[in-house]
Amino acid sequence: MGTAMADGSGGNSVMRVMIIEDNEALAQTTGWLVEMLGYDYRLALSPKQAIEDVKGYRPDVIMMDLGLPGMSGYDLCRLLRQDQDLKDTVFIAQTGWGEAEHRRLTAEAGFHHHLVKPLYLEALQDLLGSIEKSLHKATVEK
Amino acid sequence: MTAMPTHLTTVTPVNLLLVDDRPENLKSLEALLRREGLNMLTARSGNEALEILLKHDVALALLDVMMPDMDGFELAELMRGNERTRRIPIMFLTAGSTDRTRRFRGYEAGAVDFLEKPLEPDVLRSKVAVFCELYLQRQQIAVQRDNLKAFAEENLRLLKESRKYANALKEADQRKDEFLATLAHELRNPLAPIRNGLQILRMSPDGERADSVRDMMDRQLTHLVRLIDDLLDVSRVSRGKIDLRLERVAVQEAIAAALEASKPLIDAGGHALTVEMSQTPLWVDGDLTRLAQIVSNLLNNAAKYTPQGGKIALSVTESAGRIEIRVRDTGVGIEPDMLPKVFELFTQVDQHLDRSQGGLGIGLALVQKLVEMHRGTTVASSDGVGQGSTFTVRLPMAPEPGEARPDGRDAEASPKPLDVLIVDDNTDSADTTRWMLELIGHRPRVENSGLAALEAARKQQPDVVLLDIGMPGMDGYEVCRQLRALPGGGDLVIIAQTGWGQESDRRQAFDAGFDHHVTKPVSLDLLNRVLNEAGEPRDI
Repeated sequence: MGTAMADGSGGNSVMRVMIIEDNEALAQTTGWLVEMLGYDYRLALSPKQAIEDVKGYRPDVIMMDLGLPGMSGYDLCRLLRQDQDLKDTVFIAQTGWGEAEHRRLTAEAGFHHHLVKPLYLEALQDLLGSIEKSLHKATVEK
Repeated sequence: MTAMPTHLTTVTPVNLLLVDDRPENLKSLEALLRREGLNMLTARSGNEALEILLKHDVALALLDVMMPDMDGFELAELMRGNERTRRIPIMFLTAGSTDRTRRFRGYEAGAVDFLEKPLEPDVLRSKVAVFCELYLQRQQIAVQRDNLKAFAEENLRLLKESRKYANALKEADQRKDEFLATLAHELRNPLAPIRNGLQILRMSPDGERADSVRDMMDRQLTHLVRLIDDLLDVSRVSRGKIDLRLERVAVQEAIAAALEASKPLIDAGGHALTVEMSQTPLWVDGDLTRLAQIVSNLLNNAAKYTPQGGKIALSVTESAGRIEIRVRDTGVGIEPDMLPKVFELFTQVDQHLDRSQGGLGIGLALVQKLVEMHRGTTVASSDGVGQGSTFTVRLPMAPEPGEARPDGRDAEASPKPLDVLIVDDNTDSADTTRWMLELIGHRPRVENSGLAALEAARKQQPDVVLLDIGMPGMDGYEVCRQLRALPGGGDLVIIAQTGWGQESDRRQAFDAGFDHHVTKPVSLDLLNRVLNEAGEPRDI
């Protein structure tokens, strides 16, 4: 199928992942993990910083914490999803709570995926890998 | 309001009022009616009778009709007119037969009976007995009514009280739920980056980044340990299970330790800290560690609740025999109605600020309790939201100690290598302890059970035994007792290692013959210090 393509073909740049997380240690280590998986990353430690940086960075994926200072992750997601530049961006909620209720809330806010903290590398790898594949596919189809 | 037991009323005598203008009539009436439990009140005129009625409750009045000044009917009418006396049954005593109109007037005045003189003793006695019985029954009913009323009131009070408790319980339960949610969140905060760090190290264990990952993991772990220590402290303090190790200390010493402990958090917030403190030692009878904890908690609190780049001022002054430690910040401040609550357990002012700074809301609760244990007071003040807060701790000042304290801290002596026997059923814990001991130049060996440890100690006597308490089969206390019973066992330095820092455990450990007691996880520093002490010759 369309997925069997050579790495890096078609002039695709590396997938860009923005990490919005107010716990600095967690943000930085998640960034390093993302980098080790072969992607580019940018940290935003507050919703304000995320809103400012998202224009210039144009992330393919946004991973965000839900308990953020000043604005909840739900609201931030709703806000960013209205941005036309981010219409293809995949939103991942990262929370300490995995119950169905929270999954429903994140889905309602417009998140595409929901990861429970602490993060398992395998889960992150699988998720980002499948997003990358679908991005390639979308690019090829264009 | 306590209900009077009913049987007591039967003991109080029943009063009879006898009114006759002739003393000899009164005497014979008295003689006729006298029996146990009856008390005769006699009056020779209507006025005298009224006076008696003012002072006494009367079961029955026997009135002579024909009296000078005020006759029996007039007296009866006056009695009818008074709320206090209107229910007293009246028997008229008449000389000879009474005509119908007079009888009618008597009944109108409230008479229940007419008895004609000469009186028939049996008839009189049995009639009087009936009225006395009636009176007693009425008394009993009154008492029962009072009892019922008291019971009803008591029930109402109990109901109100139990409603109050139920509400308090509900509130406490709700706070507990909130606390558990916060606790899970707070524990996960340091755990999440530790897990990430571990995964990073697994993928690339070397290099510069690995170093920063390890530093980060160390910081997060320290934070985690501190959280758990605080939790244990709070539960110990609130159950009164904490002992202060009181000594005369200069408060400056505690402040210095607190400043060191809080510096990372203050620096991380980019706050400017000013310290104003006299150089002359201010003495206090206190526990140095706890005093430092008090000040450090206040500083941490200020750092947490002050937005990036704020100002924190610490001052230590003396006034009127008290030491005043004041921590002021330019932070989020406290609303007036929150002020009295800030020292309550699990209270957090902040609902909107950076959640990762939130903490568990136990720091200030601990401060207040520890200050109380030092016979001091803690006061919070703030001009409101956004106006910063001030926390003032006042401690009673102690006189300067008579002689300089000998400095117990010896210069770092290079440790003599010790044969250390590590006994722990948790192999991870045992192995990491062994690595740490090897790193600081000792000769450790590991056993994973009490029996194996005894065997190993019998074969070759170690210098020091580091003994876990909670082991399956033979617990640490028993192993310690048996080690002491070995030949030469008295010379062993035995250190208890437990996951619980409770004072009772500590005492139990010393009772079982341990020399030291340390709480897991043990830092390299502490291990080093304890082993250095153990390496020193013990007798003189």
